[in-house]
Amino acid sequence: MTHSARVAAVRQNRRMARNRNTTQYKGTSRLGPVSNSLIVGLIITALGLLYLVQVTKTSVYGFELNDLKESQEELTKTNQSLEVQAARLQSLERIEDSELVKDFEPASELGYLPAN
Amino acid sequence: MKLQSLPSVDRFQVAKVVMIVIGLVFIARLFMVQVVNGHYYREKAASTQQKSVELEPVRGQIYAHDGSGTLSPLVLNETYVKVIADPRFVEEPEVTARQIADVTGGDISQYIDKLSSDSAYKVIEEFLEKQTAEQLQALELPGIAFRDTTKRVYPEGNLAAHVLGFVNADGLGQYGIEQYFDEALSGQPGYVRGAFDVRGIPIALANNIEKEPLNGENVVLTIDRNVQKAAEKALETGIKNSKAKRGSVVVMDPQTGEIRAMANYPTFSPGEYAATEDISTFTNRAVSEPYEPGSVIKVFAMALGLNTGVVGPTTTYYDDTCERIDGFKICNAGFGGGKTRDMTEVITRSVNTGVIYVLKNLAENRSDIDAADKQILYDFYTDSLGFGVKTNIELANEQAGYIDGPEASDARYANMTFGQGLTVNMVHLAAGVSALANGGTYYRPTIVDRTISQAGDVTDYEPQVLRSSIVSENTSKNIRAMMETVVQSGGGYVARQAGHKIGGKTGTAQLPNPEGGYFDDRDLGSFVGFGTSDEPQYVIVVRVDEPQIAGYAGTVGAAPVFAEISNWLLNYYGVAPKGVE
Repeated sequence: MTHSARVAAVRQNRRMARNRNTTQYKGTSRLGPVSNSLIVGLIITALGLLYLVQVTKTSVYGFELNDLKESQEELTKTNQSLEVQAARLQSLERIEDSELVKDFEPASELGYLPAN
Repeated sequence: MKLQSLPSVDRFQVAKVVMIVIGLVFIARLFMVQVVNGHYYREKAASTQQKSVELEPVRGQIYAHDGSGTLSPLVLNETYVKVIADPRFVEEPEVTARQIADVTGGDISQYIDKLSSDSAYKVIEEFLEKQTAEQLQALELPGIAFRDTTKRVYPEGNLAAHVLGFVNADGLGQYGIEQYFDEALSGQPGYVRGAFDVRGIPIALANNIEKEPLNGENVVLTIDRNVQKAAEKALETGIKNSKAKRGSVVVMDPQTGEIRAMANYPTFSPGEYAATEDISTFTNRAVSEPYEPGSVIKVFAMALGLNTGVVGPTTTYYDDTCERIDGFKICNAGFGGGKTRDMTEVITRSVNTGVIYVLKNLAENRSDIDAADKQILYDFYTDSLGFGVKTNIELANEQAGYIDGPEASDARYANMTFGQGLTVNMVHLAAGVSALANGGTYYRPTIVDRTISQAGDVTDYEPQVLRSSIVSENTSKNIRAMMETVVQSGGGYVARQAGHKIGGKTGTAQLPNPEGGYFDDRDLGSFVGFGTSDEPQYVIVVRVDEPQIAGYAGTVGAAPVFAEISNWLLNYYGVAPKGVE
């Protein structure tokens, strides 16, 4: 490239740069007071809802926790009851009175075999 | 000027002012409520929302061994439903009573009485089974409410009733283990403090405080339920056969001091203790009613003589039937003397003058009972055998009994050699005989094997040696051999079992008259014994009050009970007869 050609290219670029400056755009829409109020209102509402959701969630967890405790208590009681039933079924009185044992002969004396 | 006639801008201004005024009114009101009267309303809210609810702990349960390494529950808890009524809200008492009776099968007239009452609180049913209560709840009867309640249940019925005791209507342990371990069994209540909603459900908030209840400890006894059952059965049979008023029995492991059975007859049902008319039935006489045991004490006096070396099994003396001491004539019971006897015969035939002879010989002066003799006997009875102080067995209401010091009269000390003029409880006797039988080791008597906390922490009650050699091995061997003769050819003959060396000693004591002296016609029979002599595995102490059949109370009342339990134990423990392995 010749010097003159280079100078011409630089000038062309400068012109173009200047031209860019000449084509600036300004926004035409602006947020008025009503929009601002609406946005603030929406933000407050959202925060309020968030708060309500959290509070409700805590309450729901409280109920769930209570339900779980109740079912734990129920299971404990059922377990207790089963333990009592099992103990009654295995009691000496019950064993002695059972139909099976009634036919048994009491072991009055044991016999021992002499050791060789 | 009308509002409509105003320009729109002015109308907006008016609305704005109105809104501002309303807002100010609200703000002022809020300020009044939240700032000026805030404290009052906070308190008001707290009083309705904030509550503290106590959380009841579960009472500890009680277990026994069953001989096969597993545990058997003796006392458990079961949830029942208490039915309560506020008769002010019951519309038609008779109709309601009928509806309740149809479900529960209870007495309708009692229900009518309760539901017609002016009271605001009546218990309709104390312990209703859950399924029945659910049927009743489904009726939605006005004025009737339901509440869960816990009841102590006894799967083995009356078994070991005196050992266990019971829990009264206030939830307090009474008698036995229930009373002794009341604090440990009860546990510690917990609580929830915080906000509750209208249904009484705690609202999950950060500032709620909850402390879980600490459930009571479970107690495992050293009792073997099979031995207990056998002992109770033998005691009941023995009492009925001898037409006695009552009786008690203690079975101890002489190698550990652990109680395997403890029973009294008559007995009671701990689950229905309120139905017992005579409250003295609740007393565990084995520990709470010390008594003059009579001639069973002779084995201790003789063991002392053997141990100090002043007599041996073949040492002889002249039995003159009676001794005159302090002006009192003290004689043998029911048979004459006028002959020379050895010390083994003194035990076999239960000769009073023989043990007085031992007492006289304890110190250097051998002709009379002197202060040194009395001191030696007193020291042995108290320091070695623990007479006069509690054994500290883990049962409520233990009574120590009494023993006079060496300053007491010679006659009193002569009586004390054959079991009168001093009192002991049956655990004293069991622990003492165990020490004589096992070679001289005195174990602390115990009825508790271990306790287990809610967290699973176990507290073991290991056998504890209180005194390592109250008598020598040789004395132990000799006294065992002497006691064998009681079973072989003396008053304990009913306990004879072919091939087994069973040792024992009978005792018959007159009952003391509260007005002084003794009753002539009221006796108390005792028997102490062990099995078997080669390797003692059990010691049994039996007491039978006022048997009504001919013969010595110890022989006809107590010995048969010993024999039945002893024979049963030989089978239960699998003790092979001598010569058979």
